[in-house]
Amino acid sequence: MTEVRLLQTSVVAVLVGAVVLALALAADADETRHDAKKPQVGDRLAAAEIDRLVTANLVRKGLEPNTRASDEVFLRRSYLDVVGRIPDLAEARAFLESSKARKRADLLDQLFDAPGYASHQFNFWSDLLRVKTRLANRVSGEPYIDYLKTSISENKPYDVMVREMLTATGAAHERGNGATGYLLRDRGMPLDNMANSVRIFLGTRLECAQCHNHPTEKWTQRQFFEMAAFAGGVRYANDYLRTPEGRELVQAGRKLRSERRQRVYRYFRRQVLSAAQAGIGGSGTGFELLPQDYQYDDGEPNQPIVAKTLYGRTPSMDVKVPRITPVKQPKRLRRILMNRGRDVDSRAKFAAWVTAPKNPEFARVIANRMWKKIMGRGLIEPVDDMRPTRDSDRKRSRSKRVSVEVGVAAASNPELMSYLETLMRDVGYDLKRFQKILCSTRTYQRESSHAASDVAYHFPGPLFRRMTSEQAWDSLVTLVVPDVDANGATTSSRAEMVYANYDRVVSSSVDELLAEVDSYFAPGSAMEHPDDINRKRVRQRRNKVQPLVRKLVRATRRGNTDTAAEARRELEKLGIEPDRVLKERRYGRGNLRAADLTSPAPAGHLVRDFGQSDRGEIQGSHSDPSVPQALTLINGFVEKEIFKRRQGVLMSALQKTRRAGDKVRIAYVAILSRPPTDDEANEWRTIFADEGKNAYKDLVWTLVNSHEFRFVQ
Amino acid sequence: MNNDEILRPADSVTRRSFMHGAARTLLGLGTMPLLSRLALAADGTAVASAPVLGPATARNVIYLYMSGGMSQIDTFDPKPGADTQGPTGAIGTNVDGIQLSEHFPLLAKQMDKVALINSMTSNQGAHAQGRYLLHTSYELRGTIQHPSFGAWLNKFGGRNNPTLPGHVAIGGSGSITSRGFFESEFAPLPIGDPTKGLAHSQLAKGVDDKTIDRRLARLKKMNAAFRKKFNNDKVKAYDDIYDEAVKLMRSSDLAAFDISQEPDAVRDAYGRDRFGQGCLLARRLVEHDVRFVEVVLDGWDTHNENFEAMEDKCPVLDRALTSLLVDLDTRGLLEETLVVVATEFGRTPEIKIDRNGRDHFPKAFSALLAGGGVRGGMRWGKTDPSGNEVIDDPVSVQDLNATIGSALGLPLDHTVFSPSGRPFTVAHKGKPVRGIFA
Repeated sequence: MTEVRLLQTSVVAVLVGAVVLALALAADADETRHDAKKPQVGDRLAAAEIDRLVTANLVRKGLEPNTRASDEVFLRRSYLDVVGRIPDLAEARAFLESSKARKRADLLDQLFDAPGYASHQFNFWSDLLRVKTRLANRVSGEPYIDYLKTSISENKPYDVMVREMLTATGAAHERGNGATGYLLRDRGMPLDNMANSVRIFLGTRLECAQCHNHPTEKWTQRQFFEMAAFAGGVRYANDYLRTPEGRELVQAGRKLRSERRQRVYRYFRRQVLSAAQAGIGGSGTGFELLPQDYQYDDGEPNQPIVAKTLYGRTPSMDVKVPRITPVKQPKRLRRILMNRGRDVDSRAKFAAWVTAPKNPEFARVIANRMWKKIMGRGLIEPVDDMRPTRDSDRKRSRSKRVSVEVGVAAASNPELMSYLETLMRDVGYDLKRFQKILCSTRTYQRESSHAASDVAYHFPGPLFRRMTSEQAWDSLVTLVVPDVDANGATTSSRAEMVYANYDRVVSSSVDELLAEVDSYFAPGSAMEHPDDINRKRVRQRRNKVQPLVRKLVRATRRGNTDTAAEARRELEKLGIEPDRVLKERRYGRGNLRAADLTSPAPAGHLVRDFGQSDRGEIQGSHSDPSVPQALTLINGFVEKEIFKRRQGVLMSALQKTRRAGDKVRIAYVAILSRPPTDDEANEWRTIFADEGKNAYKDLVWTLVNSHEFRFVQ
Repeated sequence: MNNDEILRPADSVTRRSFMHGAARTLLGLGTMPLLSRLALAADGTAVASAPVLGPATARNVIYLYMSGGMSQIDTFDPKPGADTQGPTGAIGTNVDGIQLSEHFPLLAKQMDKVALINSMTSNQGAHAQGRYLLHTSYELRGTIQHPSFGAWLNKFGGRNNPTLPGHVAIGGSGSITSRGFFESEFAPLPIGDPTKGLAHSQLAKGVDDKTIDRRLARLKKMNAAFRKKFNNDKVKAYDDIYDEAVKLMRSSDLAAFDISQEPDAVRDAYGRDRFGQGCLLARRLVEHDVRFVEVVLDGWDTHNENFEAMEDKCPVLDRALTSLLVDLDTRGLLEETLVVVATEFGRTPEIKIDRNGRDHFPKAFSALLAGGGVRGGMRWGKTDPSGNEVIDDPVSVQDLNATIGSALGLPLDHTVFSPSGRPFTVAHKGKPVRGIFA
C-alpha cells in the first residue's frame, strides 16, 4: 500500500514537473535546435529532473548512486558514446590538461557538433534498419546510406525521418530519394516490412501473428493483415517504366532479348533498365487480402479487408475495395485484386498514425532506445517487445485496458520512463539534443557498474560494457589515421556514381543509350564482355594514376614544390584528390571509419569479428568474446597496421621522443586515455632499460590487448 | 571419376585416423569419462549433481543449417501430382519408396545412409524466433540467452581434443550460435570464410614465441589489476578466450583449419562455393576431434521466385552433403559422426502466384539425419498428399534436438541452472525419435 501511495505522489510530482519543463523546453526549442553551444536552461533542468528520478528510484530500492567518475573515465566514455571512438593523443591531452571548471560541458558541446557524431549514429541505425550496401538484386543501397547519413548530419527530427522512410516513393537511384531504401530492404515482402516497422518504431512484436493467432500473444492474424493493408498495393518498382519514355526503354530491352543478344541485353538490363526501375511505387490502396489458408471465424480466405490501426483511432480513408465476383481460381482472383486497387495514400496515413504525438509508443520506444544507447540498458527490455507476455519472469500489469499503462508499467523505473517519453516529444524528436541531455546528467557522469542481463539494473551509474564492434574498430584506426573522422566523402562519392548513372539514363534518349551500349559491343571493340568494360577502365586509370602518385610522393618528400604542384594538378584533372591519395598510401586504404566501410563489412573483417551484424536480423550485432577477436589483436592489427604505418598517429608520436618515460606516457594517453600510474611508469621504464629499442612494441601490444582497452568503464 | 573414387583417402595420415576412429568405436563411446570440472560448473551454485552420460551411438555432429526456411516440397518431401508441387519434379532413390526432388540426383544414390524426417513441426514462423528455437530448444526471450546445442554437447561431453575448440561455426552470423549463459569456453569459434581458414593464427613477421610469451605475461598482470576492479563474467570471458586463442595458435592440429591441403579433386567434389568448402572444413575438423561443427547455407527465404532459387541452392546442398556422406563413410568416420540437415521452418505448399514464391510454413517441414548410429534408408513421419498437415509421427524441434542428444548419450533430463537460478535441460523436454536408430 505504501508503495502504491508513494508511486501516486511521485506521478503527480512528475506531471507538475513535466509541465514546467515542457514550457521551458518549448520556449527555447526553436532557437536552440541547431545551436548546441548556447547554454540551455531547459536542458539543464531536464538533466536535473532525470537525476532526481534516478535517485528517487535508487532510494526506494535501498541502493546508493556510484561516485563521480574521474575526468579520464568521463573523457573516454563520452568520446566513445558521442563520436564512436577513443580520443586521439592531442584530444586526450587537451581535455586532461584543461583546468576549466566547465570542461565536461564544453567537451560535450564540442563532441555533439563534431563530424564523428554522424558516423557513430549511422552505425546505430544501420544495425537497427539492417542497412546493406546492396539492398537487393540490382538495387544499390548507397542512396539509402547517403540519405541516413545526411539526415543524421542535418539532425533531422526523428519523426520526420520515420515519415519520410514510410512514405517514400519514386526512383531509388535518384538523388534525394534514398529513403525508398527502407521499403526496398524488404523487397517483395510487404508483410515482413510491416512487422519490422511495428517492431522498430512501436516496440511491438507482430511477426507471430503474420501466420496464426497465438494463444499467448495479444494480436490476432486478422489484426496483422489490417495493419498490412496500409501498405496494400505497394510496388517494388518506381513508375518511370510506366511513362512513355520508360516504355520505350522496356521495348528496347525486349527487342534486344528477342534478337538473342544476351550479353548486350544483360548489360542493358543492369546499367539502364534496373537503374530506371529500382524504386517504390504506389501510395497504398488501404486494403489487403486475408491469406488463402485463413482459418479463423472472423474472416474468409482471400477476403479483402480494410486497413485498421492496432490501437487508437484509424485515420479515415476513402478505400475502394473492388467487388469480387466468385471466381473459381483463387490465385487469379488475387492477382486481379491487387492490380485493381486505387491509391488512397494509406501509407501516409499509416506514417501519420505511427508518428502522431498521441501515439505513446512512438516516443517511448525511441526514448528508451536512446537511454539504452547512452546508459547501456533500456528502462524497458527488450526494447522492441514492450508489451508484457506470459513469460513468468516479466511482471504482469494488472490493468490491460490501456496500452500506455501496460508499456510504462513494464519499465524498471516507470516515472523516469514516462518523463523521458514526454521529454522526447518536448525536444521535438531532436535526438542529438536528447542524447546530450542524457550525457549531461550526473547519472551518466558517475562510475559505471556491471549487472548480468537477467538482473535488474537501476542505474547507480551507466552500465559497464564492452565497446561495440564499430567502436573497437574506429578506436583502433584512431591510433593510425590522423583526422580519422574526415573519411565521410568516400561513401557519398559511391552514392554519387549511382545518381550520375540514373541521371544519364533518364536524361538520354533511348537511341543514345542504345548507341552507347552498342559501341561497347561493336565488333572489334575491346569490350568483349560487360565486365571487361569496368576492368579495362580501372586498369587504364591505375596505369595513369600510379606514376603520378609516385611522382607526388617523391616530390613532396624532397621538398620539390613545383613538381609536386604539377603532379597534383594532373591528378585533379583525373578527378582524384591528391591529399586523399597521399593519406591512403600513408595510413592504409582500408583504415576508414566503420560507417564508411561496406555495410556489412565482409566476413572475416575485424569489425565483423568483434560482432558487427550481418544485417540479417534487426540489431543483430553482439559484443561477445571470440577467438578470432583475440587472434586479430595478437597477430594482426597491432603488428600489421599500427607498427607498419610508421607515419601513423601513435607511431610518429612515439618516434618524436627518445625518453622512455615520455614514450610510456604517450602510449598510455593515446591508447587508454589516461597517464600511467607511478607503478606502471616505473615498471615500463625498467623494461625499456632492459629491452632497448623494441620495448615500445611490447608496450603498445599490451595496452591494445588489455581489458581496459575494450571495456568502457 | 565418381565421388567414391575421388573421396577415397590416399594418405597414411587419414588411414591412421581411421584406425584411431575404429579403435575408439571398439572401446565404446558411451564410457567417455566425464571431466570432473564440469560438475562444479556455473559458479558452483548451479549444478546440483554431475550429469551422467548414457550410451552413445555418435561422437561428433556436423550440423548443416539451411538458413531462411528451406522448402520441404522442393527438397525432401516432394508431392508429385499435387497442386502444391509446382514445376519441381520428383525422382526415385536407391531406396524403394523414398523420393526426393529432382534437384538431388547425387543424394538419391546415397539414401541408404539417410533417415529423412518428413514430419517436423514448429510453432515459430518468424526467422529470429525459429532459428533460435532450432538452435536452443527454447523460445526467444529478452531476459536470457540460452546455449545452443554445440555448447550443451561440450558442456556435458567435454572436449576430445584439448587444443582445438569443441564447437566451430562456419559461415552465418555470430548471433546464431551462442554459449548462452554457459562459461566462455563453450562459445563457438566462428569461421567467416572456410577457404581462409583461421585468420591471424600465424605469428607476425619478426615475432617469435618468446616475444608473445613475454607480452602475454605482462598482459596477464595488467588484466589482473583490471579484474580487481571489474570482476565479472564478461571480463573473465576475455581472459579465457585469450588462453583459448594462444592454445589454438600453438596447436599441432592447427592444420585442420587449412583446407588448401586437400587435393583439388576433393575440393571440387564438395563444390567450390563457401558452403561446399565449409563442409570439407567440417570433415577435417571432425577428423581432428572437434565435436560440433555447424555449417550455414543461406538464401532459402524464397518469398519471391522460389523455383529459380531452388535451381541455384539445391545443387549446392546436394553436392556438398553427398560428398560429405561419402567422404566420411570412406574414412570410417560416418558411423561415429552424426550429420544433420535442419532448417527453422518449411515453406507453404501453396505457391504465392503473384511472385512465384512460397512463404514461411512452420506447421510441416523436413529434416535429415545420417551416420552416428542412424538407420539409413528410412523415412520417419508423413505429411498429407498436399503437404499441408503432418499426419504421422510429428516431430517437434525439441524432439529433433532430443534425438541428436540421445545419439550423443547426453542426459536429457539433467537440469542445469542459469546464473540467476532458472532451470534448463538440453532439449527442453523433447522426446527422442528412437525409431530411427539401428
